[in-house]
Amino acid sequence: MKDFDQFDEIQILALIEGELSPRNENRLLAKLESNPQVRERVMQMRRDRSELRDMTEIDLPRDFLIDLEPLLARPMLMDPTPARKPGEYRRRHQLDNRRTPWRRYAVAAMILLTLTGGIWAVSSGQAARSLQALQALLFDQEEMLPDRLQVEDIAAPVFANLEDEWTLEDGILHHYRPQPVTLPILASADDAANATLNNRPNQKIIANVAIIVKSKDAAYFEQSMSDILTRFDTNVALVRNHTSVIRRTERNGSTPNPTPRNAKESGKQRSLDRQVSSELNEFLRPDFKPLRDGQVLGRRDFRPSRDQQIGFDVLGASHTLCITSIRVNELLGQVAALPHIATQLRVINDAGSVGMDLIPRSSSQSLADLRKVREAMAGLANHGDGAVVMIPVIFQD
Amino acid sequence: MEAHRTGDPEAMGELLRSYQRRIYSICYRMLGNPEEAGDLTQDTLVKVLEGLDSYNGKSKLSTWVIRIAMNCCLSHLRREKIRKHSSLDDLMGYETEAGERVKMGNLPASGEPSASDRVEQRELKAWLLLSLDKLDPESRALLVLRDMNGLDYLQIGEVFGIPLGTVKSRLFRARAALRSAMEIEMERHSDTGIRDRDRDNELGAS
Repeated sequence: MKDFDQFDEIQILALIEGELSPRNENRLLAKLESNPQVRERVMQMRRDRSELRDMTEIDLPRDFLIDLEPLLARPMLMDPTPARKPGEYRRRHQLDNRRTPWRRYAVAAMILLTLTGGIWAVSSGQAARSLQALQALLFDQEEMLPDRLQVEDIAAPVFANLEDEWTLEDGILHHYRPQPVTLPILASADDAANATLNNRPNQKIIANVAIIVKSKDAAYFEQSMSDILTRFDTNVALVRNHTSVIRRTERNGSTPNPTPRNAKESGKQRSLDRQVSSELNEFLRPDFKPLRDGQVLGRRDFRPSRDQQIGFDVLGASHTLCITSIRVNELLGQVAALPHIATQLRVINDAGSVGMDLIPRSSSQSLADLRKVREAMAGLANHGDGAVVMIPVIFQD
Repeated sequence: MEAHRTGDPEAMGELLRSYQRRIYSICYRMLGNPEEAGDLTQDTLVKVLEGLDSYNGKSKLSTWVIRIAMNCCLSHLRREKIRKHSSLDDLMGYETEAGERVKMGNLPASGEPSASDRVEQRELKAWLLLSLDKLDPESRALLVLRDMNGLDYLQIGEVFGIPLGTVKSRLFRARAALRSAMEIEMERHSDTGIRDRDRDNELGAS
């Protein structure tokens, strides 16, 4: 660049780009004669430009056009439901609850009709036929499901060993004691049956697909899923993941501002810190009922080990959905169909690297990601009744 | 675009198809890797799909799409800190139409007459691509958009969100940087070629 110091670079650029009038071009070229080295260089740059412009356009790969089709089709599970504005949901909820007398009468009439019809159906054997028809219909639908869900890319075991941390703020000592955990990340779906947690044999499978929900929808998601889970006739649970926090105060018993574990770390830890911080804020709320680690929100009983909870927290997941493998498809379908909020499925990449990296890195919804999700889900259901799949739920801004 | 806004379901497909080759071309020139270029093209198309409703029409649609594509490429390069090294095998050798294998390592030194203008031109293109790869992503992006996609200064300014004067200044610097990279690369490989030739001669003599 030093060579060009005595010239106006914008003018030289105009010369290279062929934007000067012949008169101005000749004038500048004459000026450049005073420095043959620069003149030669400018001419080379002009030639470079010309060569770059002559380069042929790159052709698309042959299979690229085919890849575009699923993008336009937008499969259900990857299709984010457009989020409603908060006020809109509230208004709708209020409208739904504003019952008018005629609606009550209509409901009463419906119940009466249903009862009458039911008595007639039982007496005439119609009910059994209806049930058979329903079963046939359900069977057909099951056969038509394009994807069964599967844990697929499960890499080497991950050990996240976190150290105790103390912080002293305003005379208050905070002691955070995270629990070490070994997550069973398997080599392939075939190994899932041999999954172990902290070297204890079990049949828990950690899905390498996470459910992503907007942070603002966290409470709604929790409530909706709790309702949905009660309708499952199998072991299923939505579990809050909490860090193990021990608090001590030195001078007085005032409530301190929570300092998240790893608060000193930056960058990739930030989202995890926010998560932990929000948990602590919740924990410290005056009207907050104490939560236990592994609290079960759904009605069906399921108690993953404490270690597992901590493990998922390390993943950055605030909740864990647990369900027997053969019902995963159904559950994820319910998640995708949740009204009013956007949910996505995302493959957890690089599961074999260090614990903290288990937070999904990919933020895009490219077809490649979509394919990975579909592949990852493709056979999760095939692990039998005994296997329980744990799917991390990650809330993101 | 109008058809899409009026609810024509086919319009979206047509729109994406009309841009995919151009986007792929940009991604490929920026990354030099067909797989990554394909992935990022799809990323871009998804983003276009998602953001189409927010397109305000202030800039040309093509500029807006290119901006998304370029942001995808630059983010990818920054995130992964990819300093891709294009396969020298691809760049350093090729076959002429006569089936003759030409090695880039035997590129004639500056000033020497070349065997054929056409071969020289092809070699120059190969060197340009190799040198383009050595530039920082922003400079490469400027040259890719300006020379390989024919964007004018204003469009480039809209893509990068910079004023016209800055575009010109950066473009000039990018051209100068490309020329320097060319010279360095050609000199380096010319030395390698001479060393290889000497070694071949020695082996032949022994």
